[in-house]
Amino acid sequence: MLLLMLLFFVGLMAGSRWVSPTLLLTAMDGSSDLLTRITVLELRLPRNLLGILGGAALGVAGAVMQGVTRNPLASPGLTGVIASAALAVVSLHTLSTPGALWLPLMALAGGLLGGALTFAIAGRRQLQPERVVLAGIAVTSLATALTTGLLLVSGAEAAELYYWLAGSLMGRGWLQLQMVLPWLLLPLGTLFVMQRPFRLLQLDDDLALAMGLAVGRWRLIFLLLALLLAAALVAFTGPIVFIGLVAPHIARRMIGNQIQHWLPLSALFGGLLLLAADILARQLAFPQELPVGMLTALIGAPWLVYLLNSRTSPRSA
Amino acid sequence: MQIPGAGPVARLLLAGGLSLVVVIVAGVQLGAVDLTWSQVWAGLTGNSSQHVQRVVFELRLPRTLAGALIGIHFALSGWLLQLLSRNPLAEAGILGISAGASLVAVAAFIIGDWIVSSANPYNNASFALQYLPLFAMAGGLVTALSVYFLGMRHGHLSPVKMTLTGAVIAGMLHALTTGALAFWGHAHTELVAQWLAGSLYGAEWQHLRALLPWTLIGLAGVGLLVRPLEVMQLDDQHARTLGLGLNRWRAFALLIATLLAASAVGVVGPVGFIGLLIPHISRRLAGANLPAQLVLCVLLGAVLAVLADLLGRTLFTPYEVPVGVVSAVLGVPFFLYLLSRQP
Amino acid sequence: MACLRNRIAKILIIVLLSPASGLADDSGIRLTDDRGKTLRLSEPATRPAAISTFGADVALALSTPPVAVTDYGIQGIPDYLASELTGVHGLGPRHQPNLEVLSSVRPDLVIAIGRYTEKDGDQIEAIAPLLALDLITVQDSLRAVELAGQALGAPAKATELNARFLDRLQALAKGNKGKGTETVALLTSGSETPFVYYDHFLPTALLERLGFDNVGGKPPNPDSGIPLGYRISLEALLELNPDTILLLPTRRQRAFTMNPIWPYLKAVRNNGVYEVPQYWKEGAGPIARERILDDIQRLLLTSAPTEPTNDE
Repeated sequence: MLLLMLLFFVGLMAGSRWVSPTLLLTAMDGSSDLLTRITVLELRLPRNLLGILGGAALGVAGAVMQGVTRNPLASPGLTGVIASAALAVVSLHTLSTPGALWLPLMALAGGLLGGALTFAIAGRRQLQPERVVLAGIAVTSLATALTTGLLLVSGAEAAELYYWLAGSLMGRGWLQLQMVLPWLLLPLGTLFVMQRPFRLLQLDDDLALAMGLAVGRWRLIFLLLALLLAAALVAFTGPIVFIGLVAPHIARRMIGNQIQHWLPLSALFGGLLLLAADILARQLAFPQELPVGMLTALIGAPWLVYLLNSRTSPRSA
Repeated sequence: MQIPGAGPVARLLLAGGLSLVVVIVAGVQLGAVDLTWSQVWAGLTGNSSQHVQRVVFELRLPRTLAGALIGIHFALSGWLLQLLSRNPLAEAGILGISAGASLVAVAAFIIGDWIVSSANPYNNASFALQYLPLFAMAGGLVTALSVYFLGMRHGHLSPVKMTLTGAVIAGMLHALTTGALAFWGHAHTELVAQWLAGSLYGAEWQHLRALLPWTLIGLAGVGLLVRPLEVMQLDDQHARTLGLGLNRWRAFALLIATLLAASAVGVVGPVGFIGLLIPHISRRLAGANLPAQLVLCVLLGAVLAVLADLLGRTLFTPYEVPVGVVSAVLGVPFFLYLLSRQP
Repeated sequence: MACLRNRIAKILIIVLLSPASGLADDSGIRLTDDRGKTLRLSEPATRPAAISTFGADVALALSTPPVAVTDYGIQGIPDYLASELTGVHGLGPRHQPNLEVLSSVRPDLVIAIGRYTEKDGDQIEAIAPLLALDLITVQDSLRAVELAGQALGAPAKATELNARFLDRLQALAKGNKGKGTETVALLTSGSETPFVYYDHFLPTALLERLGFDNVGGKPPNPDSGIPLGYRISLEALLELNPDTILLLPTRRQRAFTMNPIWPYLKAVRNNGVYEVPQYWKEGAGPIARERILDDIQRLLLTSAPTEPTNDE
């Protein structure tokens, strides 16, 4: 928790102009110059908040997916949700001039289609872990192929869309935060209320049924909520992968047996990761900015490979 | 040797072969410019105007044949990988081959922009482009090798672990590729986008010459693998009792699959769907008969690729939809249909 | 006095450009394009094909209409040429010209933008001699027009077009002298972060010559011409705070104009944000570059404030 606060302040200070802590204080009480005040309050504050909230959303989405399907590899990225949401947004941009309100809706629709496709391909009854992942990869590669095809048609706009497809928090301010907030907070809130069914679903299906839980229905609801979180974020930042996969795992390492802390901790780590990645993205290629999707991939993938290697009880083929 | 079901299988193979011929002929006959049969024939035999000669012999024929070859490459590679990982949803993208090759390709363009020592940047850029297939192939190979080694568990190749590792690495490379392209590639975006979509645009005889050796190597390798693969379909324990060097054969199969996929990606860019779909179809049609599956993969892979390319370049003339996209669009409904019928 | 200066300028142009120009000897025309390759034409071309807008532009300007042109995909042929190009064969997008159609129109010259055709140069050259051009800076434009003039058999007209352009530039620059240096930025993109162009890009270079200061700055590799610019965060843009912002057209709603920093920019507060037409992006053609000067004159140089096209 402390780490988060620290990172938050670093995030406020980092950027194209390094702002010292004292300057920061003056910005807060309004006595600094215009440039500093705008930079801190209008640019970095909402951006950092978006980073934390977005990362939390992704972390929670991943945790929910993993818990509900009992599949340690489920995540918005690996189940084709992110790629399909991105495809939906890109098609909207290429084929028409969208108003800002349409974006999350389209992303949601795309993500829903992608996720549904993945689970349909994996076979609904068993939802075997590997099958889900592999179906997700198939759906992702399909979505990517179609996206790339669309980019060819978009002509001169292609460079723009590529930049968006790399995932970035650049330039996201209060407006974007405001627009994405309801989409993120509502599902998050709902999830925190529904802790008990969530915990039950992580047990054996039969056990849960015995305890009076309508397993199929709840699973669907949870997956939908997770989807909502991920797709909404994608609509505003572009696809950012791996956070939904890595954060829950880190959280699980830390909690041991106290499963009730899993969701909040996933949120925390998700937010931490994204914020850290964003700060790095701002500083590494100074004065330009790297796309944050690149960094999460660079951080996340080796970690995952390490995870795969250290699993002592793998799911057998 | 009486193979049960030889009748229907033979008919299937015949049908496949016939479709291939038809599709190739169509590929040469049809295109952005309308030509009559006699013109095409004249073009092939060398008795026509320069324009017709060029269109038929320099543009359509190599492109169609190249399409057939990469179709074979991707289909066979997917077939091998699906058998190897005992998972019907595997294909070259899984091993990160396409992603690795793509990253190297994008990097080559970007580095080509950076290395400007002389006043004429085109010398350096064309250097990158000439060797692009080789670079891309190297990228694909390196990635596959890494995934292979990371996929080992207790010294044996674990198909599951390999697949998952491949997925993760492919995801990472894809994100890196997109990021690199977004950040550095502004001036070349459209060109690279075309390559990344998997396109046969501009395929000429030199591409065929570059590809053919790998096709032959791949086919030879696959031929050698048929028996061992049949054995590998059994339980691991069973197979070992038959005295087969499992690990070695697995490695060899992986190598062949990688070579096939990487060489194709090097020439046309990543084309995902053929390797996913065709093995499914051939399994459906040929049942458990591995040799028949093999031949069907070859035939149907070629047919799909040529057909997809043909549609892509004739539907929206003068624009072209890349073969990767068309095969995905064609493939998905079919794929879903196949899966819905699965027990 | 001005007359003599102009004459010297014209001579200088011819002298400076002569290494790139061809020798019209008895065996035809020899030209060296921006790749360093030599083209040989036995006689001036009458059926040019254009891969990129410059080709169409210069062909029309030199009264040899092109037989085929490329376009911008969904966005079609650039507006400022569209009326004169009705019925001309379409080749598809500039990075992927349809080779079959190109072959069928039987051109005797292909004027192309180099960086998009380098991959398929060989195949295009099999159809017709390929004049590949950089088309990024002002020098590129002058040289390209000169080369095209040689190739199309109208060298005198090409030289005249160049001379007239430089004269006009000079006159405008003189007229603008002493009015203080205004800073300007040329931005493109519809996403959350705009892309700003360096000084060497033709429109910004023209602005610089006319006495403005482009905040994009000098390019890191002046020899290469690529990249054309970089993505600038709005924080950085605020620091540079240009007096005027010019926006290239985009089909999307410009997300960066909805950024909280946007209203604080000097240009925005003083109504100094203008949208410029698409040909600013590929302005090397003789028609396009004159229009760019028209736009600059209209938007930035008239002393009386005109109604700005403020973008929302």
